[in-house]
Amino acid sequence: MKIDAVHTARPSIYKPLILALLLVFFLAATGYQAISSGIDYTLVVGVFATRFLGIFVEAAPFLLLGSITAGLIEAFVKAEDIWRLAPRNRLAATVMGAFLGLVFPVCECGVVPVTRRLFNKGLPVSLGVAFLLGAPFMNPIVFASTYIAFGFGPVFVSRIVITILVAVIVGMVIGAFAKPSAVLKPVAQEQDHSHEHQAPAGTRAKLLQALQIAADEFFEMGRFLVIGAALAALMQTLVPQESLLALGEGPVLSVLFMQALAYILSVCSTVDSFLALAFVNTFSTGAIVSFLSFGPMVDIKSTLMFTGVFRKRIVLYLILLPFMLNLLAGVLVNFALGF
Amino acid sequence: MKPSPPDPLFALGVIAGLALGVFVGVSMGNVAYGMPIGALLGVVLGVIMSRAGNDQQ
Repeated sequence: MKIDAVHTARPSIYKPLILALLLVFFLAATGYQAISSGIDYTLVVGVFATRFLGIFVEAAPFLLLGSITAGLIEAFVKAEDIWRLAPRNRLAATVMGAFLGLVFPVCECGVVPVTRRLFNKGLPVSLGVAFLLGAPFMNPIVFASTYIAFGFGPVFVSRIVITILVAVIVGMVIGAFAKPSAVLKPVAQEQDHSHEHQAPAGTRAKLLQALQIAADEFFEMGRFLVIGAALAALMQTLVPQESLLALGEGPVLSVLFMQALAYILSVCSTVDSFLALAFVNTFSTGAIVSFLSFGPMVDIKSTLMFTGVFRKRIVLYLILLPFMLNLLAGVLVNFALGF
Repeated sequence: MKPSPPDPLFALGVIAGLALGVFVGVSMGNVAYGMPIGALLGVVLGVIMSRAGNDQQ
């Protein structure tokens, strides 16, 4: 009934119109403030533009890769295959989800469309959530970049262990009370069902369908990427890192600071190790590990993508649970290594 | 319902937004400066035009 209501409801144009007006108002106010306070506004705009383009250009190829993977899954993988391969035991299924990134190597930009397609194919919720949180790190590319940056040591090992633990725990918690239909937004389900009705037979037709779905997925998620990248760039421009640096001292605050930084910076998981390397002498190992394990799970741009696919309550859980678990893990690492 | 890529109105909105971004960038002395606002306006205008088109059908 609820889904039917969504099918017939026409989305209003007022929401994006208000958003556009707010955007113009915000830019005008910021520009006016910058000019009146004597700041060189072209410098601020230049920094903002560079950061925006940096985030967007870095993320777009991975989103494309994820969208193509999602298209291929939709066209070639049958719901029965998923049911056959997924373990019946919830814990085993969740653990499998945490390692599934080794099969589908996608970062946090590409993992959302892939997870949505897998959910619509009947993937168990706990497995899907564990995959969503674990895959951005649990893939060969990110393993390699972390290894190159930090070598085989406490950071590398802790990152693996914490990512798996957090992904499995959050997967188990959400899987315990949410059905697949309660995880995805009705519009996301509607879109996927529309593709199911026109399943083609031949390989060529299936490939064409996969590309069509990939394009659809890319543009759909691309909207959230643009807005997320703009928000992240804005935060980076308006909140100077130096002022936060003073706050990030101590075994707990340093972890909190690095988590906040990971969320704001929204750096792709494939390159975040090299960025974290710059903080090694400033912050504790627990804080670095927390930055590396929390960032790929949740950041500004992935939050925006989550809101386009998952229900609000699930998005809230997907942010808060990894945040708290990573904080706990980071603090424990700090104490274990004698902060 | 959603702005899908084959929707020409969505594409038109994106192009219009990007064009505005280029205009803003050029007026500031660097095309790249206008790209963030162009991309954002592109998304917003794309959605508005696509939804307005759907409403008329």
